[in-house]
Amino acid sequence: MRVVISKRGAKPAVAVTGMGAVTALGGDAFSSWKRVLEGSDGTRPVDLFETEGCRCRSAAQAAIPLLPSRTSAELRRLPRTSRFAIPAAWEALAQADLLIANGQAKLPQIPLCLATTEGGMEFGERFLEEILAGRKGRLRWVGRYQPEQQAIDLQRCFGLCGRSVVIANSCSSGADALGYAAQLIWSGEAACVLAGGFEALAETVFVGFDSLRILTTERCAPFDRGRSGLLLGEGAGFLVLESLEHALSRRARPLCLLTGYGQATDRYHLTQPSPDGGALCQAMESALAQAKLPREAVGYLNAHGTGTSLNDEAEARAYSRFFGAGWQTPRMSSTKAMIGHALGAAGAIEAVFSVLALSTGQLPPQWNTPDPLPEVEQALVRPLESSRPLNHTMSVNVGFGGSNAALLFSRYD
Amino acid sequence: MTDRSPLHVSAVGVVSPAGLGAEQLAQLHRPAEKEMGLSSSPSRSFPVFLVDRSDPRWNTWAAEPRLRRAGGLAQFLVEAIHQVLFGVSEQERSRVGLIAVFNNGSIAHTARFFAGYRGQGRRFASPLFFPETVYNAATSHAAAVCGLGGPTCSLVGDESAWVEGIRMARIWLELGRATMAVVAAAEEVTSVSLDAFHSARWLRKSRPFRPSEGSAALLLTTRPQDALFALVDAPTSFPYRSQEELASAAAKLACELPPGIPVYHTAEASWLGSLEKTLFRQMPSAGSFPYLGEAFAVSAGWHTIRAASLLSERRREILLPLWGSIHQLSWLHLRLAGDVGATAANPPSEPIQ
Repeated sequence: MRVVISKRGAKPAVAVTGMGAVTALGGDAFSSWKRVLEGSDGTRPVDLFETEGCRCRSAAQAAIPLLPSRTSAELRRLPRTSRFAIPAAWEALAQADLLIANGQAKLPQIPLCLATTEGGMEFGERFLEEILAGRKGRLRWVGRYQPEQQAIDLQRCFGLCGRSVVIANSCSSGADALGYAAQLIWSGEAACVLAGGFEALAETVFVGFDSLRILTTERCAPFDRGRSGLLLGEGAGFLVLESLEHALSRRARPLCLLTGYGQATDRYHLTQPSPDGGALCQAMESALAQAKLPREAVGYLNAHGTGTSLNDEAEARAYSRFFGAGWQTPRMSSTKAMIGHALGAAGAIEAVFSVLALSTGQLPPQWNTPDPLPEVEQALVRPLESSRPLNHTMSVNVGFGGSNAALLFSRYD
Repeated sequence: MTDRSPLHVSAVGVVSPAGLGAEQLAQLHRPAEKEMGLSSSPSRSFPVFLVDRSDPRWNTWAAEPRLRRAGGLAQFLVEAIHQVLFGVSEQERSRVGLIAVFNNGSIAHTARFFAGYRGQGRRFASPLFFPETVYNAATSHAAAVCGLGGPTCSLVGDESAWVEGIRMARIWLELGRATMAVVAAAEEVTSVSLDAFHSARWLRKSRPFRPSEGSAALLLTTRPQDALFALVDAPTSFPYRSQEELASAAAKLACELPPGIPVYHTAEASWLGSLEKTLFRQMPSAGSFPYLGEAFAVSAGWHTIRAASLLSERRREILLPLWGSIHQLSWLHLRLAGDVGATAANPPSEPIQ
């Protein structure tokens, strides 16, 4: 089934023309993807901050990619989040052929739709440390802590002068930033948008998740009966989205189309999903309705699958309700087993993987899940499962506060 | 550049140091300035504008189970949203979207959580406080308490994020994602945020900056019936980081404003006041109100509501520049209800005064 596009008077089709990612498994989208397919594990002991006293002391900590155009003094001023965001955005803009030789953007007015949950938190922690000690906090910490500053870091790096918006919807932020970017194009508000999410491991967030006792001290095993918690991760994911007409007019090659975005709010509890997964079903339904596609059209689903008891149970129940008992299609996996949960960046990174699955036909296996929950057992992608042509893939995220988001990507031929 | 679909504002909600409700905003009835000390040096205090939390109406929200661990930020947000939803049925609320805007967010909870685990050890970190540190915790509480069933989104930013929120609401309404949308902002002054302003040198005597707190909300629809006023969001915003970039961004903003329409001055008492005065000296003034301090997007919301109260048969349009304190400048174009077709290029029958 193909998506009908370019009808006169219809909403503009949204093309994905570039993507980039930094994860614990690689400094770019392709190397991260390759290692996800191989089943590499990004888990390592955290050495960014002290973890003494925590139950869990590991995370999917990423290496910071080189930024050759920056001096060391400039790099010191950037929070860790910007040092993930800039290379991922660079990769996306370069693939979309939107960079000129000096690294500046060809379209300086393009808006930014960004996502994070903590911004430059490590700078905020240093500031809090200073004032707790009774000293005046230094401007260099407080001045670069807030998420708006990472927007400016990106604008500075690429010479962008358009507007920016920062979305903070917890773990669905990245998907929501991409979805809102698509809405800007569907509504005619923008022709091209750079959208993505970024997150860096920070002590406060790590200790916070540890205090909730939802970090695993074992392997992260999404949708497994024996799952014991999530693995925190970090990194960034970016997509260049543009109207198909805009992309074709500048001879850019669309990688695929973003054809649906659904969003729904679960009011059940601040940190626990409603056991029936109703809001998640609503988000998926909304994304499919927008593309006028039936449920069975989705070939691969990148699930949120954190590996926590409550999330995975509710999510599995929602999928079973949505796709039918014993469902086998779409094939499904949670890539958080290898790259961890990158919070505000998760939705954007997983969207990149969903685009890669669509364009290569390769399915990321569900690693670390020997004893799956019965609701998803038949659908989980098995290691060595053969690649297949896919027409539509979906990426789903669920967050604290009840944010649920679903993105639908469709093949463009 | 204001030929975009207007949004209709059918209700406004306010929590401010002047009191609860939009009527209180029009004029300060009593001195609202108070003193607050720094976390790092409690004996050193600075003037701030605070919401009067002794008002018995706060007891309602303090008793709300969902808000039992939430702080002032969530309570301010819920109260302003509650005000705009007066008369909106439960059924209608199921299709109302919510966009909440913050700048400092729940920094009070973050600082408390941080101080707790640093003081007592990581193994004793409080699982009760941590979830409240998340930016969208207050948004989630508000949607739950007010029974909103549409999409929700939390934005982080300065005054310009208020405009981004309104833009998002317009897009949701245009795309049919919601039948009505609430755009709300909330901010809370804490001794930690005061420390941050102090570090940023915003509290120097030479700068008139006064931290403030509260919330503001608008109920937006695409239907003109029963609208209080209409507004159009700016086509773009202008980012800056340095003083030089700010001057350039401000000049671009001034060039973009349609000529001949009175400008409501929003920066008169802030450090951007002189820049605003210089840029708009050739444009008619719509006036301004007594200073209520700076609370980022909340201030933008208050300015919107105050400026709208100046719309009349004789002043059918007002431009509202919004000077983002941190990274972006933007603006709104307010119009009298039922007068949305008029623009500076196509003026209404009565001349603008």
